[in-house]
Amino acid sequence: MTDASIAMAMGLLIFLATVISVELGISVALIEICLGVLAGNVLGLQSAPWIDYLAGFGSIVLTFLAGAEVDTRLLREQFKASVLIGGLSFLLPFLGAWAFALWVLGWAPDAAKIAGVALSTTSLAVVYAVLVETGLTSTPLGKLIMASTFITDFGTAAALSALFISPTPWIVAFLAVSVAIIVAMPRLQPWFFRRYGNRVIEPEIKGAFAALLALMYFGRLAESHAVLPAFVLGLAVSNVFAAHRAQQQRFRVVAFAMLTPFFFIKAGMNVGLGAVSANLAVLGLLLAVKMATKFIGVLPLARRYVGPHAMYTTLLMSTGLTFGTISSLYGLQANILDQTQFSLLVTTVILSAVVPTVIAQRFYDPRRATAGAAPTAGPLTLAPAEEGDE
Amino acid sequence: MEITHILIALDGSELGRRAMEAGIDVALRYRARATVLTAIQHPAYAATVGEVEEADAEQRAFAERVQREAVEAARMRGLDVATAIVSGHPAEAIVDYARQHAVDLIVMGHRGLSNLRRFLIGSVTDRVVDHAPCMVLVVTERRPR
Repeated sequence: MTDASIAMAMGLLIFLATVISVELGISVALIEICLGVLAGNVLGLQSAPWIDYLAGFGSIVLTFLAGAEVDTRLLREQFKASVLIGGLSFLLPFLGAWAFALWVLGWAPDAAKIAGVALSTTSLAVVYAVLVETGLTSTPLGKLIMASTFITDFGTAAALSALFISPTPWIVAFLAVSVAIIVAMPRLQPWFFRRYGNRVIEPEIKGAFAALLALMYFGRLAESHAVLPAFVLGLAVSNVFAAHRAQQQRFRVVAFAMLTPFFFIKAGMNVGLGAVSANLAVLGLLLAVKMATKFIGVLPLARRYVGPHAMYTTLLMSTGLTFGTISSLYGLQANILDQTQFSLLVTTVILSAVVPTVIAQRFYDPRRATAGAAPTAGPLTLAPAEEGDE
Repeated sequence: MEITHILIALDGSELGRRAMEAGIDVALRYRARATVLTAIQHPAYAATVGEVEEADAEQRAFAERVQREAVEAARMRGLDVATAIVSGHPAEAIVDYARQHAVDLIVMGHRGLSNLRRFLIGSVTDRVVDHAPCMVLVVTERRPR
Protein backbone atom coordinates (compact mmCIF):
# COMPACT_ATOMS: atom_id res chain seq x y z
CA MET A 1 0.00 0.00 0.00
CA THR A 2 1.18 3.52 -0.68
CA ASP A 3 1.45 6.18 1.97
CA ALA A 4 -1.45 8.03 0.36
CA SER A 5 -3.75 5.00 0.45
CA ILE A 6 -2.76 4.21 4.06
CA ALA A 7 -3.43 7.84 5.01
CA MET A 8 -6.83 7.75 3.31
CA ALA A 9 -7.74 4.50 5.07
CA MET A 10 -6.61 5.89 8.42
CA GLY A 11 -8.61 9.05 7.85
CA LEU A 12 -11.75 7.05 7.13
CA LEU A 13 -11.22 4.81 10.16
CA ILE A 14 -10.70 7.80 12.46
CA PHE A 15 -13.84 9.48 11.14
CA LEU A 16 -15.88 6.28 11.36
CA ALA A 17 -14.71 5.65 14.93
CA THR A 18 -15.91 9.09 15.97
CA VAL A 19 -19.36 8.60 14.47
CA ILE A 20 -19.75 5.13 16.03
CA SER A 21 -18.54 6.47 19.39
CA VAL A 22 -21.17 9.20 19.41
CA GLU A 23 -23.92 6.82 18.29
CA LEU A 24 -23.10 4.12 20.85
CA GLY A 25 -21.96 6.29 23.74
CA ILE A 26 -18.74 4.31 24.03
CA SER A 27 -15.29 5.88 24.31
CA VAL A 28 -13.78 6.77 20.95
CA ALA A 29 -10.50 5.14 22.03
CA LEU A 30 -12.14 1.75 22.48
CA ILE A 31 -13.86 2.05 19.10
CA GLU A 32 -10.56 3.07 17.49
CA ILE A 33 -8.84 -0.01 18.92
CA CYS A 34 -11.68 -2.23 17.66
CA LEU A 35 -11.59 -0.67 14.17
CA GLY A 36 -7.80 -1.07 14.24
CA VAL A 37 -8.26 -4.78 14.97
CA LEU A 38 -10.70 -5.00 12.07
CA ALA A 39 -8.38 -3.07 9.74
CA GLY A 40 -5.35 -5.18 10.64
CA ASN A 41 -7.04 -8.58 10.61
CA VAL A 42 -9.76 -8.30 7.99
CA LEU A 43 -8.82 -5.43 5.69
CA GLY A 44 -5.11 -6.17 5.76
CA LEU A 45 -4.17 -2.56 6.50
CA GLN A 46 -0.50 -2.27 7.40
CA SER A 47 1.31 0.38 9.36
CA ALA A 48 3.98 2.71 7.98
CA PRO A 49 6.90 4.43 9.72
CA TRP A 50 5.07 7.75 9.84
CA ILE A 51 2.10 6.06 11.51
CA ASP A 52 4.44 4.42 14.02
CA TYR A 53 5.91 7.82 14.85
CA LEU A 54 2.53 9.54 15.14
CA ALA A 55 1.29 6.68 17.32
CA GLY A 56 4.36 7.04 19.55
CA PHE A 57 3.78 10.77 19.82
CA GLY A 58 0.11 10.11 20.53
CA SER A 59 1.11 7.90 23.45
CA ILE A 60 3.36 10.65 24.86
CA VAL A 61 0.58 13.22 24.47
CA LEU A 62 -1.82 10.87 26.26
CA THR A 63 0.70 10.44 29.08
CA PHE A 64 1.20 14.21 29.30
CA LEU A 65 -2.58 14.69 29.45
CA ALA A 66 -2.83 12.04 32.18
CA GLY A 67 -0.28 13.98 34.23
CA ALA A 68 -1.99 17.31 33.52
CA GLU A 69 -5.31 15.84 34.68
CA VAL A 70 -3.92 15.09 38.14
CA ASP A 71 -5.60 17.22 40.77
CA THR A 72 -2.63 18.05 43.00
CA ARG A 73 -4.82 19.59 45.70
CA LEU A 74 -6.85 16.40 45.85
CA LEU A 75 -3.67 14.37 46.03
CA ARG A 76 -2.45 16.38 49.02
CA GLU A 77 -5.82 16.05 50.76
CA GLN A 78 -5.82 12.27 50.48
CA PHE A 79 -2.09 11.75 50.56
CA LYS A 80 -1.54 8.94 53.06
CA ALA A 81 -4.47 6.74 52.10
CA SER A 82 -3.94 7.31 48.38
CA VAL A 83 -0.22 6.50 48.54
CA LEU A 84 -0.98 3.27 50.37
CA ILE A 85 -3.89 2.18 48.16
CA GLY A 86 -2.41 3.48 44.90
CA GLY A 87 1.07 2.19 45.72
CA LEU A 88 -0.09 -1.35 46.44
CA SER A 89 -2.51 -1.15 43.51
CA PHE A 90 0.57 -0.73 41.34
CA LEU A 91 3.11 -2.88 43.15
CA LEU A 92 1.27 -6.17 43.67
CA PRO A 93 -0.18 -6.49 40.15
CA PHE A 94 3.19 -5.46 38.73
CA LEU A 95 5.07 -8.13 40.68
CA GLY A 96 2.29 -10.70 40.27
CA ALA A 97 1.90 -10.31 36.50
CA TRP A 98 5.67 -10.14 36.02
CA ALA A 99 6.17 -13.38 37.97
CA PHE A 100 3.23 -15.08 36.26
CA ALA A 101 4.46 -14.20 32.77
CA LEU A 102 8.03 -15.19 33.61
CA TRP A 103 7.54 -18.43 35.50
CA VAL A 104 4.14 -19.72 34.42
CA LEU A 105 3.92 -18.54 30.81
CA GLY A 106 7.66 -18.79 30.21
CA TRP A 107 7.98 -15.34 28.64
CA ALA A 108 11.41 -13.74 28.27
CA PRO A 109 12.40 -11.56 31.27
CA ASP A 110 11.87 -8.24 29.49
CA ALA A 111 8.53 -9.37 28.04
CA ALA A 112 7.48 -10.43 31.54
CA LYS A 113 8.41 -6.97 32.84
CA ILE A 114 6.19 -5.38 30.18
CA ALA A 115 3.37 -7.70 31.25
CA GLY A 116 3.89 -6.54 34.83
CA VAL A 117 3.77 -2.86 33.85
CA ALA A 118 0.81 -3.24 31.45
CA LEU A 119 -1.32 -5.08 34.00
CA SER A 120 -0.39 -2.90 36.98
CA THR A 121 -2.30 0.09 35.66
CA THR A 122 -5.51 1.67 36.83
CA SER A 123 -7.40 3.74 34.29
CA LEU A 124 -8.07 7.21 35.68
CA ALA A 125 -10.37 7.94 32.75
CA VAL A 126 -12.47 4.80 33.23
CA VAL A 127 -12.63 5.49 36.97
CA TYR A 128 -13.49 9.15 36.40
CA ALA A 129 -16.28 8.32 33.93
CA VAL A 130 -17.85 5.92 36.42
CA LEU A 131 -17.57 8.44 39.26
CA VAL A 132 -19.10 11.24 37.16
CA GLU A 133 -21.90 8.93 36.07
CA THR A 134 -22.67 7.98 39.66
CA GLY A 135 -22.22 11.53 40.96
CA LEU A 136 -19.38 10.56 43.28
CA THR A 137 -16.54 12.76 42.01
CA SER A 138 -16.81 15.27 44.83
CA THR A 139 -17.46 12.77 47.63
CA PRO A 140 -14.60 11.63 49.90
CA LEU A 141 -14.90 8.15 48.38
CA GLY A 142 -14.56 9.45 44.82
CA LYS A 143 -11.68 11.73 45.76
CA LEU A 144 -9.79 8.90 47.43
CA ILE A 145 -10.24 6.60 44.44
CA MET A 146 -9.02 9.28 42.02
CA ALA A 147 -6.06 10.24 44.18
CA SER A 148 -5.08 6.57 44.50
CA THR A 149 -5.32 6.20 40.73
CA PHE A 150 -2.85 9.10 40.27
CA ILE A 151 -0.34 7.22 42.42
CA THR A 152 -0.82 3.98 40.51
CA ASP A 153 -0.36 5.83 37.21
CA PHE A 154 2.84 7.36 38.51
CA GLY A 155 4.14 3.92 39.48
CA THR A 156 3.35 2.57 36.03
CA ALA A 157 5.04 5.49 34.24
CA ALA A 158 8.10 5.23 36.49
CA ALA A 159 8.39 1.48 35.97
CA LEU A 160 8.09 1.73 32.19
CA SER A 161 10.83 4.36 32.06
CA ALA A 162 13.16 2.88 34.66
CA LEU A 163 13.02 -0.82 33.82
CA PHE A 164 14.37 -0.52 30.32
CA ILE A 165 17.11 2.06 30.78
CA SER A 166 20.32 1.11 29.00
CA PRO A 167 23.54 2.42 30.51
CA THR A 168 24.47 4.70 27.61
CA PRO A 169 25.98 8.21 27.85
CA TRP A 170 22.77 9.55 26.39
CA ILE A 171 20.91 8.70 29.56
CA VAL A 172 22.59 11.68 31.23
CA ALA A 173 21.45 13.98 28.43
CA PHE A 174 17.92 12.52 28.62
CA LEU A 175 17.79 13.13 32.36
CA ALA A 176 19.21 16.65 32.03
CA VAL A 177 16.78 17.64 29.27
CA SER A 178 13.85 16.10 31.15
CA VAL A 179 14.68 17.96 34.37
CA ALA A 180 15.31 21.23 32.51
CA ILE A 181 11.96 21.05 30.68
CA ILE A 182 10.03 19.99 33.78
CA VAL A 183 11.55 22.80 35.86
CA ALA A 184 11.43 25.52 33.20
CA MET A 185 8.03 24.98 31.59
CA PRO A 186 5.75 25.71 34.58
CA ARG A 187 7.86 28.76 35.43
CA LEU A 188 7.84 30.15 31.91
CA GLN A 189 4.23 29.36 31.12
CA PRO A 190 2.54 32.33 32.89
CA TRP A 191 4.81 34.79 31.05
CA PHE A 192 4.50 32.85 27.79
CA PHE A 193 0.70 32.74 28.02
CA ARG A 194 0.55 36.50 28.66
CA ARG A 195 2.96 37.34 25.86
CA TYR A 196 1.86 34.89 23.15
CA GLY A 197 -1.39 33.28 24.34
CA ASN A 198 -4.92 33.30 22.90
CA ARG A 199 -4.00 33.39 19.22
CA VAL A 200 -5.40 31.21 16.48
CA ILE A 201 -1.87 30.04 15.63
CA GLU A 202 -1.75 28.36 19.09
CA PRO A 203 1.72 29.14 20.46
CA GLU A 204 0.86 27.40 23.77
CA ILE A 205 0.05 24.08 22.11
CA LYS A 206 3.07 24.25 19.84
CA GLY A 207 5.29 24.99 22.84
CA ALA A 208 3.96 21.94 24.68
CA PHE A 209 4.36 19.77 21.58
CA ALA A 210 7.94 20.99 21.10
CA ALA A 211 8.75 20.03 24.70
CA LEU A 212 7.19 16.57 24.27
CA LEU A 213 8.97 15.96 20.96
CA ALA A 214 12.27 16.89 22.62
CA LEU A 215 11.55 14.39 25.41
CA MET A 216 10.79 11.72 22.81
CA TYR A 217 13.99 12.46 20.89
CA PHE A 218 16.27 12.27 23.90
CA GLY A 219 14.35 9.27 25.23
CA ARG A 220 15.10 7.40 22.02
CA LEU A 221 18.76 8.43 22.05
CA ALA A 222 18.98 7.04 25.58
CA GLU A 223 17.15 3.88 24.47
CA SER A 224 14.52 4.63 27.09
CA HIS A 225 10.92 5.83 27.02
CA ALA A 226 9.76 9.39 27.59
CA VAL A 227 6.61 8.30 29.41
CA LEU A 228 7.82 9.25 32.92
CA PRO A 229 9.09 12.76 32.09
CA ALA A 230 5.96 13.37 29.97
CA PHE A 231 3.76 12.35 32.91
CA VAL A 232 5.74 14.47 35.39
CA LEU A 233 5.72 17.41 32.95
CA GLY A 234 1.94 17.12 32.74
CA LEU A 235 1.80 17.02 36.53
CA ALA A 236 4.05 20.09 36.75
CA VAL A 237 1.79 22.15 34.46
CA SER A 238 -1.50 20.76 35.78
CA ASN A 239 -2.23 23.93 37.79
CA VAL A 240 -1.58 26.09 34.71
CA PHE A 241 -3.91 23.88 32.68
CA ALA A 242 -6.57 24.06 35.39
CA ALA A 243 -6.35 27.86 35.36
CA HIS A 244 -6.55 28.11 31.56
CA ARG A 245 -9.54 26.00 30.65
CA ALA A 246 -9.72 27.25 27.05
CA GLN A 247 -6.10 26.26 26.33
CA GLN A 248 -6.64 22.87 27.93
CA GLN A 249 -9.70 22.32 25.77
CA ARG A 250 -7.84 23.33 22.58
CA PHE A 251 -4.95 21.01 23.47
CA ARG A 252 -7.43 18.19 23.87
CA VAL A 253 -9.10 19.04 20.56
CA VAL A 254 -5.79 18.80 18.70
CA ALA A 255 -4.77 15.63 20.54
CA PHE A 256 -8.10 13.82 20.04
CA ALA A 257 -8.52 14.94 16.44
CA MET A 258 -5.06 14.22 15.09
CA LEU A 259 -2.76 12.28 17.42
CA THR A 260 -4.39 9.85 19.82
CA PRO A 261 -6.47 8.12 17.08
CA PHE A 262 -3.24 6.99 15.41
CA PHE A 263 -2.07 5.49 18.68
CA PHE A 264 -5.25 3.53 19.37
CA ILE A 265 -5.79 2.38 15.77
CA LYS A 266 -2.16 1.34 15.52
CA ALA A 267 -2.52 -0.63 18.78
CA GLY A 268 -5.60 -2.36 17.40
CA MET A 269 -3.95 -3.14 14.06
CA ASN A 270 -1.26 -5.13 15.86
CA VAL A 271 -3.70 -7.33 17.73
CA GLY A 272 -3.85 -10.72 16.05
CA LEU A 273 -7.31 -12.23 16.41
CA GLY A 274 -5.87 -15.66 15.65
CA ALA A 275 -3.35 -15.30 18.46
CA VAL A 276 -6.06 -14.27 20.90
CA SER A 277 -8.50 -17.03 19.95
CA ALA A 278 -5.74 -19.64 20.16
CA ASN A 279 -4.83 -18.53 23.69
CA LEU A 280 -8.15 -17.86 25.37
CA ALA A 281 -7.09 -19.73 28.51
CA VAL A 282 -3.96 -17.57 28.83
CA LEU A 283 -6.10 -14.48 28.27
CA GLY A 284 -8.43 -15.51 31.09
CA LEU A 285 -5.48 -16.24 33.36
CA LEU A 286 -3.85 -12.87 32.69
CA LEU A 287 -7.09 -11.08 33.53
CA ALA A 288 -7.49 -13.23 36.63
CA VAL A 289 -3.92 -12.43 37.73
CA LYS A 290 -4.48 -8.72 37.27
CA MET A 291 -7.73 -8.72 39.22
CA ALA A 292 -6.55 -11.13 41.93
CA THR A 293 -3.40 -9.13 42.63
CA LYS A 294 -5.39 -5.88 42.67
CA PHE A 295 -7.72 -7.46 45.21
CA ILE A 296 -4.84 -8.68 47.37
CA GLY A 297 -3.20 -5.25 47.27
CA VAL A 298 -6.21 -2.94 47.49
CA LEU A 299 -9.07 -4.71 49.27
CA PRO A 300 -7.59 -4.86 52.80
CA LEU A 301 -6.64 -1.18 52.69
CA ALA A 302 -9.94 -0.23 51.09
CA ARG A 303 -11.75 -2.01 53.94
CA ARG A 304 -9.79 0.13 56.35
CA TYR A 305 -10.34 3.45 54.59
CA VAL A 306 -13.70 3.22 52.83
CA GLY A 307 -15.42 0.50 54.86
CA PRO A 308 -18.61 -0.55 53.10
CA HIS A 309 -17.35 0.49 49.67
CA ALA A 310 -14.19 -1.58 49.69
CA MET A 311 -15.32 -3.87 46.88
CA TYR A 312 -16.41 -0.95 44.71
CA THR A 313 -13.09 0.79 45.29
CA THR A 314 -11.10 -2.37 44.56
CA LEU A 315 -13.00 -3.07 41.36
CA LEU A 316 -12.48 0.47 40.07
CA MET A 317 -8.78 0.23 40.93
CA SER A 318 -8.71 -2.97 38.82
CA THR A 319 -9.61 -1.13 35.61
CA GLY A 320 -7.03 -0.32 32.96
CA LEU A 321 -6.86 1.03 29.43
CA THR A 322 -4.53 3.79 28.28
CA PHE A 323 -1.31 3.11 30.20
CA GLY A 324 -1.70 -0.61 29.67
CA THR A 325 -1.99 -0.07 25.93
CA ILE A 326 0.94 2.39 25.93
CA SER A 327 3.15 -0.11 27.77
CA SER A 328 2.19 -2.97 25.48
CA LEU A 329 2.76 -0.96 22.29
CA TYR A 330 6.14 0.18 23.61
CA GLY A 331 7.03 -3.47 24.20
CA LEU A 332 6.00 -4.41 20.66
CA GLN A 333 7.80 -1.52 18.97
CA ALA A 334 10.98 -2.17 20.98
CA ASN A 335 10.82 -5.85 19.93
CA ILE A 336 10.41 -6.92 23.55
CA LEU A 337 7.03 -8.52 22.88
CA ASP A 338 6.05 -10.70 19.98
CA GLN A 339 2.67 -10.22 18.32
CA THR A 340 0.98 -12.96 20.34
CA GLN A 341 2.17 -11.53 23.65
CA PHE A 342 1.14 -8.04 22.55
CA SER A 343 -2.29 -9.26 21.43
CA LEU A 344 -2.88 -11.02 24.73
CA LEU A 345 -1.78 -8.04 26.82
CA VAL A 346 -3.84 -5.47 24.90
CA THR A 347 -6.92 -7.71 24.96
CA THR A 348 -6.47 -8.26 28.69
CA VAL A 349 -6.13 -4.51 29.19
CA ILE A 350 -9.35 -3.88 27.24
CA LEU A 351 -11.17 -6.57 29.21
CA SER A 352 -9.92 -4.95 32.41
CA ALA A 353 -11.60 -1.71 31.32
CA VAL A 354 -14.92 -3.48 30.90
CA VAL A 355 -15.21 -6.41 33.34
CA PRO A 356 -14.48 -4.70 36.70
CA THR A 357 -16.50 -1.63 35.67
CA VAL A 358 -19.57 -3.69 34.84
CA ILE A 359 -19.31 -5.69 38.08
CA ALA A 360 -18.78 -2.55 40.16
CA GLN A 361 -21.73 -0.72 38.65
CA ARG A 362 -24.05 -3.72 38.62
CA PHE A 363 -23.41 -5.13 42.09
CA TYR A 364 -21.55 -2.58 44.23
CA ASP A 365 -22.90 0.82 43.18
CA PRO A 366 -22.64 2.97 46.35
CA ARG A 367 -25.89 4.78 45.49
CA ARG A 368 -27.79 1.51 45.73
CA ALA A 369 -25.90 0.62 48.91
CA THR A 370 -26.95 4.00 50.27
CA ALA A 371 -30.60 3.30 49.57
CA GLY A 372 -30.48 0.19 51.73
CA ALA A 373 -28.19 1.55 54.42
CA ALA A 374 -29.05 2.85 57.83
CA PRO A 375 -29.60 6.59 57.77
CA THR A 376 -26.63 7.22 60.03
CA ALA A 377 -24.19 5.10 58.07
CA GLY A 378 -22.82 8.00 56.00
CA PRO A 379 -21.73 5.52 53.36
CA LEU A 380 -20.10 7.92 50.93
CA THR A 381 -17.70 9.20 53.54
CA LEU A 382 -14.45 7.51 54.43
CA ALA A 383 -14.23 5.09 57.31
CA PRO A 384 -13.09 6.83 60.52
CA ALA A 385 -9.32 7.04 60.63
CA GLU A 386 -7.67 4.75 63.11
CA GLU A 387 -5.34 6.07 65.72
CA GLY A 388 -2.19 7.26 64.07
CA ASP A 389 -3.90 8.01 60.77
CA GLU A 390 -4.14 11.56 59.52
CA MET B 1 -57.23 7.23 38.42
CA GLU B 2 -55.20 9.96 40.06
CA ILE B 3 -52.25 11.58 38.35
CA THR B 4 -50.44 14.19 40.43
CA HIS B 5 -46.88 14.04 39.14
CA ILE B 6 -45.87 13.56 35.49
CA LEU B 7 -42.33 12.93 34.35
CA ILE B 8 -41.61 13.96 30.77
CA ALA B 9 -38.40 12.42 29.42
CA LEU B 10 -36.71 14.50 26.74
CA ASP B 11 -33.67 13.74 24.61
CA GLY B 12 -33.83 16.50 22.03
CA SER B 13 -35.44 14.32 19.34
CA GLU B 14 -38.58 15.18 17.36
CA LEU B 15 -40.54 12.45 19.16
CA GLY B 16 -39.32 13.85 22.45
CA ARG B 17 -40.77 17.21 21.48
CA ARG B 18 -44.09 15.54 20.72
CA ALA B 19 -43.88 13.72 24.04
CA MET B 20 -43.52 17.12 25.66
CA GLU B 21 -46.72 18.29 23.98
CA ALA B 22 -48.55 15.16 25.13
CA GLY B 23 -47.15 15.56 28.66
CA ILE B 24 -48.40 19.15 28.81
CA ASP B 25 -51.86 18.00 27.64
CA VAL B 26 -52.10 15.37 30.39
CA ALA B 27 -50.70 17.69 33.06
CA LEU B 28 -53.25 20.38 32.23
CA ARG B 29 -56.11 17.90 32.07
CA TYR B 30 -55.26 16.30 35.44
CA ARG B 31 -53.91 19.50 37.03
CA ALA B 32 -50.76 17.57 37.79
CA ARG B 33 -47.29 18.97 38.32
CA ALA B 34 -44.77 18.07 35.65
CA THR B 35 -41.02 17.53 35.65
CA VAL B 36 -38.95 17.55 32.49
CA LEU B 37 -36.02 15.14 32.74
CA THR B 38 -33.03 14.76 30.44
CA ALA B 39 -30.41 12.07 30.98
CA ILE B 40 -26.81 12.65 30.01
CA GLN B 41 -24.54 9.71 29.39
CA HIS B 42 -20.77 9.77 29.48
CA PRO B 43 -18.60 7.75 27.10
CA ALA B 44 -18.12 4.32 28.62
CA TYR B 45 -14.52 3.09 29.05
CA ALA B 46 -12.93 6.43 28.23
CA ALA B 47 -9.20 6.67 27.61
CA THR B 48 -8.72 10.18 28.93
CA VAL B 49 -10.36 12.30 31.58
CA GLY B 50 -10.61 15.01 28.93
CA GLU B 51 -12.93 12.90 26.82
CA VAL B 52 -15.29 12.52 29.78
CA GLU B 53 -15.07 16.18 30.84
CA GLU B 54 -15.69 17.50 27.35
CA ALA B 55 -18.56 15.07 26.71
CA ASP B 56 -20.10 16.03 30.05
CA ALA B 57 -19.88 19.74 29.24
CA GLU B 58 -21.27 19.28 25.71
CA GLN B 59 -24.16 17.08 26.81
CA ARG B 60 -25.01 19.28 29.76
CA ALA B 61 -25.17 22.32 27.47
CA PHE B 62 -27.35 20.37 25.02
CA ALA B 63 -29.65 19.14 27.81
CA GLU B 64 -30.01 22.68 29.19
CA ARG B 65 -30.98 23.98 25.76
CA VAL B 66 -33.54 21.17 25.26
CA GLN B 67 -35.00 21.92 28.68
CA ARG B 68 -35.15 25.67 28.14
CA GLU B 69 -37.20 25.08 24.99
CA ALA B 70 -39.45 22.65 26.87
CA VAL B 71 -40.02 25.06 29.74
CA GLU B 72 -40.86 27.79 27.27
CA ALA B 73 -43.30 25.53 25.37
CA ALA B 74 -45.04 24.64 28.63
CA ARG B 75 -45.18 28.25 29.78
CA MET B 76 -46.82 29.27 26.49
CA ARG B 77 -49.63 26.88 27.39
CA GLY B 78 -49.88 28.07 30.97
CA LEU B 79 -47.97 25.29 32.71
CA ASP B 80 -44.95 25.68 34.97
CA VAL B 81 -42.65 22.68 34.86
CA ALA B 82 -39.70 21.65 37.00
CA THR B 83 -36.49 20.44 35.33
CA ALA B 84 -33.90 17.80 36.13
CA ILE B 85 -30.69 16.69 34.42
CA VAL B 86 -29.39 13.34 35.60
CA SER B 87 -26.34 11.25 34.70
CA GLY B 88 -26.48 7.63 33.67
CA HIS B 89 -28.09 5.25 31.23
CA PRO B 90 -31.32 7.00 30.17
CA ALA B 91 -33.61 4.07 31.02
CA GLU B 92 -32.12 3.59 34.48
CA ALA B 93 -32.08 7.33 35.11
CA ILE B 94 -35.76 7.72 34.17
CA VAL B 95 -36.91 4.71 36.21
CA ASP B 96 -34.79 5.67 39.25
CA TYR B 97 -36.10 9.23 39.15
CA ALA B 98 -39.68 8.02 38.90
CA ARG B 99 -39.17 5.72 41.90
CA GLN B 100 -37.53 8.39 44.03
CA HIS B 101 -40.01 11.18 43.26
CA ALA B 102 -43.39 9.42 43.40
CA VAL B 103 -44.09 9.87 39.71
CA ASP B 104 -47.52 8.64 38.55
CA LEU B 105 -46.94 8.81 34.81
CA ILE B 106 -43.87 8.83 32.58
CA VAL B 107 -44.29 10.39 29.12
CA MET B 108 -41.63 9.71 26.52
CA GLY B 109 -41.02 9.27 22.82
CA HIS B 110 -40.99 5.84 21.25
CA ARG B 111 -37.66 6.40 19.57
CA GLY B 112 -34.75 8.58 20.56
CA LEU B 113 -31.85 10.10 18.69
CA SER B 114 -29.80 7.03 17.80
CA ASN B 115 -31.14 4.17 15.70
CA LEU B 116 -27.74 2.41 15.83
CA ARG B 117 -27.65 2.40 19.64
CA ARG B 118 -31.24 1.17 19.69
CA PHE B 119 -30.37 -1.64 17.26
CA LEU B 120 -27.27 -2.78 19.14
CA ILE B 121 -28.06 -2.06 22.77
CA GLY B 122 -31.85 -2.04 22.83
CA SER B 123 -34.59 0.49 23.19
CA VAL B 124 -34.63 2.90 26.11
CA THR B 125 -38.42 3.01 25.86
CA ASP B 126 -38.74 -0.78 26.08
CA ARG B 127 -36.61 -0.84 29.20
CA VAL B 128 -38.56 1.96 30.84
CA VAL B 129 -41.86 0.23 30.06
CA ASP B 130 -40.49 -3.02 31.52
CA HIS B 131 -39.17 -1.51 34.76
CA ALA B 132 -41.19 1.63 35.45
CA PRO B 133 -42.95 1.81 38.84
CA CYS B 134 -45.87 3.67 37.25
CA MET B 135 -47.80 4.10 33.99
CA VAL B 136 -45.87 5.00 30.88
CA LEU B 137 -47.31 6.96 27.97
CA VAL B 138 -45.27 6.28 24.83
CA VAL B 139 -45.63 8.76 21.98
CA THR B 140 -45.15 7.03 18.64
CA GLU B 141 -44.49 8.38 15.17
CA ARG B 142 -48.05 7.60 14.15
CA ARG B 143 -50.39 10.55 14.56
CA PRO B 144 -53.69 9.71 16.31
CA ARG B 145 -56.58 9.76 13.87
